[in-house]
Amino acid sequence: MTVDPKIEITLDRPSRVYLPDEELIASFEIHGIRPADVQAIEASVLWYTEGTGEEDLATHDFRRLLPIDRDDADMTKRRKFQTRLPRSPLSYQGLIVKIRWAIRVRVFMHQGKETMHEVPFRLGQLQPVVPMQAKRSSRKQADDAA
Amino acid sequence: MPRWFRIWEKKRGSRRTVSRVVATVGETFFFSALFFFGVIFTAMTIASVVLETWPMRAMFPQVAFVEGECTIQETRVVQTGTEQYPHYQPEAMVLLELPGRQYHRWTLRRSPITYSTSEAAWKRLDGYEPGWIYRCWYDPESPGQSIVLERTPSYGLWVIFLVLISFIVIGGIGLIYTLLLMGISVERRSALANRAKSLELLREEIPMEAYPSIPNDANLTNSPGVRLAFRLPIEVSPGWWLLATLIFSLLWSGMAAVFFIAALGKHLAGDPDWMLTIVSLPTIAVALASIYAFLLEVTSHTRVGPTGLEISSHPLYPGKEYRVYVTQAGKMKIKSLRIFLICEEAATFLQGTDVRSESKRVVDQLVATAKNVEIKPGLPFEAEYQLKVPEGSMHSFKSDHNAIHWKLVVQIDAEHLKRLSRSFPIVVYPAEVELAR
Repeated sequence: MTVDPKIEITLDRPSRVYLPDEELIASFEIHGIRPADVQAIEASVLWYTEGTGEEDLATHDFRRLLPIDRDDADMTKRRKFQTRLPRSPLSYQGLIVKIRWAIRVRVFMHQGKETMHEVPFRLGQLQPVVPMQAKRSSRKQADDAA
Repeated sequence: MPRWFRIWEKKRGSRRTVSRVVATVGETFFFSALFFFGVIFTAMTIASVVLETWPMRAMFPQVAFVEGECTIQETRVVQTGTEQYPHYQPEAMVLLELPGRQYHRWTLRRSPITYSTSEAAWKRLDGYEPGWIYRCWYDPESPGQSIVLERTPSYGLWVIFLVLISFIVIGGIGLIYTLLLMGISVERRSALANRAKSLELLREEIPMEAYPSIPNDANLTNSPGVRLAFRLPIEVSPGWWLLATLIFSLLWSGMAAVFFIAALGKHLAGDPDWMLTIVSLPTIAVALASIYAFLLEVTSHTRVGPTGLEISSHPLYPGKEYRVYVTQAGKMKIKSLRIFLICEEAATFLQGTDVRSESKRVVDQLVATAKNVEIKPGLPFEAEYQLKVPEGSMHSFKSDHNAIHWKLVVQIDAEHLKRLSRSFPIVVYPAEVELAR
């Protein structure tokens, strides 16, 4: 029986909040499998939508690693990569549209299996959207208090 | 608290229960079946046509016809149909002489052709003179039952070929696409699409985006304003809505008129059709309502003239202030003219086979109000206001199924007219303070 690999992704900022145009440095390491079992690894910096609509996804940075790419061939070792983040779209938590940024690592094994792990991060510092009714009532409360 | 597992309802993201393997196998099976069905049946059809065997021989006997020479002995017009509605069918008695046997048959073409008048039917026979020899076609296996003087094109056969070839094309492209994408992650597909976009050839046409996923504002800034920097284009031209109302009103009124005349005719003839009368009444009511709605639209658009909106700068940034200049022409007394800054989230999704869309307003800010204004022809209402995009707002965004739209809406509430809203799209960029450099 084969064991699922464990993917560990680390970002250079514990807060996981970045501003547009900033550098993001991430590293990942694969545990729990033999290096020979790994066929390929894909690491991507991407955004995707959530909410009522169909999911849209776009990669900002995509890397595919194959054993022949490196002399050591041990792809389970910690790898580090960096990318300059784009100016948009910013992370957003709306009412029916949400935009999430994440580092996603996908490991393809020789047996045809694949495992994926992702770590979210925020691009920009936008606050979650408040429904308009709630906004109006809080404004009214503030006016009343004044 | 754990949620119920939703079996039938839509599931997205991590709640998706779809298996990519099953989906890929299913797609491969579907496109393979379509492709091989097309190939096998095209080959069968071609073989059947060439070898003149079933099923094409049965469906399109003319594909097996051979050419010969026939002598026309007589021509006639046969009356068919009913006494009340007669039809006239032109025919010719032909003689086909083959080695060892002669065949006689009343014929013209394989599918009989009829006319509403005898004269038209006789006219169709012009050119066919008794005693003369003409080209004819017949099935060598049964000449007596198949002789025709005119061949009709086998459109049905070409339709069958087109359908079968479309199966091959759709199935083949689908199969190649599915096989190419097999084992490719969604991220890699997206990266491949990005790479395709940045190809040298394409780059000349599509400039690299400084702000990805933000709609291009070139169409909003190509018209300079009179007072301020840009004149914003209106979202939907009011003329289109007017035209749509007119077309609906005309079509519905035409249908209602047919119903009304038919029902009235029955009543006048002393044989009232009550079912038709009952159906006609609501149809006529809708027709009158649509005419009223059209006239109201015409009145609104003739009295409420064009609305113009200019802005001091574009694109807009959250937290920044801008000037807007509004002009309203026409002839009316305005109870109130209000300008709103609106931000809406929009999402499209599949529900079964339907594409549905939903939108939600997240910003609805009153920018300015003008009350009790009288507008006279040649003296439009003009005013300049200050506008501030709320701080911390999301920028404009557009992807395949999701969007965030910003717009300025001018709402006109005039006396004796229905309330009119005119939208002017704008593009909001991320706040400059969000940028690190």
